[in-house]
Amino acid sequence: MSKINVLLVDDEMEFAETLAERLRMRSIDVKVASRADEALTILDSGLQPDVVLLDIKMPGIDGMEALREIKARDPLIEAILLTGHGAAASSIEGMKSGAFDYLMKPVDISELIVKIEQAVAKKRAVDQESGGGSGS
Amino acid sequence: MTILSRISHFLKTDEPSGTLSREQRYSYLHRLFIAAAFVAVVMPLVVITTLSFYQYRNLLGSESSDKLNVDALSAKQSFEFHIQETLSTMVVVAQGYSYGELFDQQALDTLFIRLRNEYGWVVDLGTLDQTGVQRAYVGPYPFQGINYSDQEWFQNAYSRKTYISDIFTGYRGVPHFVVTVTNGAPATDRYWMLRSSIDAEHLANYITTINTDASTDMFLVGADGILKTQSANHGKIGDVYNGDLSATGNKITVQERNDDDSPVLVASTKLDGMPWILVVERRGTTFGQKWNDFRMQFIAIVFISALVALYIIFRVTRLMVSMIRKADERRDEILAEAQQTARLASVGQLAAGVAHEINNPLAIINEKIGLLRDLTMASGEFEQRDKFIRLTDSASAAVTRCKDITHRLLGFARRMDVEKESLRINDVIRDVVSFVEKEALFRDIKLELLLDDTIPAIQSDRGQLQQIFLNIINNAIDAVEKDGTVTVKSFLKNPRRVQVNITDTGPGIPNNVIKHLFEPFFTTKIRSETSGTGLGLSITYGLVKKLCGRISVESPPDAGATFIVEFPIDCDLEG
Repeated sequence: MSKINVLLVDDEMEFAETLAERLRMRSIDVKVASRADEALTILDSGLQPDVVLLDIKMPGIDGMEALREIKARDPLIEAILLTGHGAAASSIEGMKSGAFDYLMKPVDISELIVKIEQAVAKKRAVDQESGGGSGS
Repeated sequence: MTILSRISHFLKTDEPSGTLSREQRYSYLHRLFIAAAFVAVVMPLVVITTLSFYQYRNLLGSESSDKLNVDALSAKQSFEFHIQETLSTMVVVAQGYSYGELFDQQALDTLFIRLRNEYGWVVDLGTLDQTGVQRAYVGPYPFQGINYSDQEWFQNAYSRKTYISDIFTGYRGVPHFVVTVTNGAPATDRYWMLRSSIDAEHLANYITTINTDASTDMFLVGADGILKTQSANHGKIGDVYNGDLSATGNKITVQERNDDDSPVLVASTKLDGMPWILVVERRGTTFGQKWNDFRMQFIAIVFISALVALYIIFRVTRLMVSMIRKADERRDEILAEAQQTARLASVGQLAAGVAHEINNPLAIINEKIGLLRDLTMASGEFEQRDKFIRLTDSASAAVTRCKDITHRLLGFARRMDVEKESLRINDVIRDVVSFVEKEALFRDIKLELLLDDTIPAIQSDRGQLQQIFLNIINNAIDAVEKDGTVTVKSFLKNPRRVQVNITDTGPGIPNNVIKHLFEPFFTTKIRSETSGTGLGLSITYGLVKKLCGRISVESPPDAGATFIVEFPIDCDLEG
């Protein structure tokens, strides 16, 4: 299995950078964006991550809106919502908008890795069925 | 201010009279209601009964007056007929005889016998010539040949066809009156006068005969106001009658007089062809026994009606004030409940906000500690490495504990999904008890179940009910010492609600604590590693509300606490 690419979008940079470093220690490539529009710019520049880790509550474009934009650009990209909000309603809305799953902050790293791997497995299975590649 | 406006003012405001306490206000309202009801009920009763009383009195008075009038008229007709009959007979007899025949003593004897046979009260009979000399006479007195020309009665009778004299004593010295019939033209030698006399005693006897009412005094009075027959109330013959007869005519006159504050009804009338006035007096009670009976009954009825009205007024007033008191208490309860709900809601929102804000830095701490541990694990052996790992694990455990708290706080604030099903609440209680019975056994605490298995199934969420009972029973177990008891009792409170009481034999809960018992983070337990978060009862409160239930706590002094939980048989659960 090729290396997993993750785009982590969270306005709490302390959290994002630390989590990114921990994921990298587990052989996952992580690109960090502090805002949704920055993440969309990265995607537009050609990066094709396997999974986007998306905080729901962010200044500017929020996580739900960003999810819809990402899915509009590439429906095959899987997204896992990270929320400190705990509101089941927004999580359910996220799932309806195409999110793979959601996790409550603070996240357990092992649980997060499992979710990422499940999401990547799903994406790659779909890629193979459609004859495309992940590009990574 | 009128009574009604006072009541209206009272009901509209909480402080109608300055510094009155609530009990004083109810007492004040009680008095106001009674006064209003008294004015509205008893006063009209008194007015109506007084008017009726006098109306009936007047009616009876009129009836008495009419009755006396009838009695007097009947007596007048009877009396007149009695005397006139004698006179008429004499007229008929006189017409049957020619001049001179009645001067014959033998003929007069025969006539007297016939007259006496018919009218036994005729004392004597005589025939007078034009000079007033009694030429023939039949009777007990030696009046043959007496000249009556100087007698007043003779002079009055001389030129009249018939005549009835006033009562006088005359030659015989006995009160009597004469009845005369004349024939022939006066002052001619063909003139004669037939005269008979009747004792006044006969009149008294006859009045006694026609007066059958013991309460009635009937007598004759002359035009000069002198009694002609004996009166029960005015004296004997010859006494002066002290009543007023000036208005008396040929018809019956009825007047009322007061003798010594005793009302007397007086009927009087002139007797036709006689020089007397018939007087009928009825004294004592004006209206007789009928009035006395009515008056007693009337007073009794009014008195009883007033008593009944007052009793009803008191009872209804007490009931109304009691209802107002209950409504006030219910309003206070609802207000307190609303305040409690609002406080909990605001505290819940605040808690959720705090939890969310804490979650982000907590996530950073979590990741930093995680990274520290990752780096430690990835690095080689160094001094204190194991201790370092233990410290990061300990810090991770603390973060996990914080995470549990924030997640529970968020759970407290948000509405969780519910699954409605038909279930028996006793089954839920038994499930929960099975979770905790080992803990209770270990601590020598007795768990007693008093479950009414006739309770019908309810529509509710099993998981959340379990959570509710688990929280409360755990609290109860924590509250009791060794050998204590926790009792769970279920029963049907009413056909639409079931109730579960969880009672412990612990030290009880002070009132000032009960007020805050369902607020988040409120706990009386000493903080320790194993102590609760202070969220258990607030979450329980939220769950009970969500399942359409009610929860309250009672803790009498020097006794344990009882948690009372109620649920409806059916509830419109929201997801």
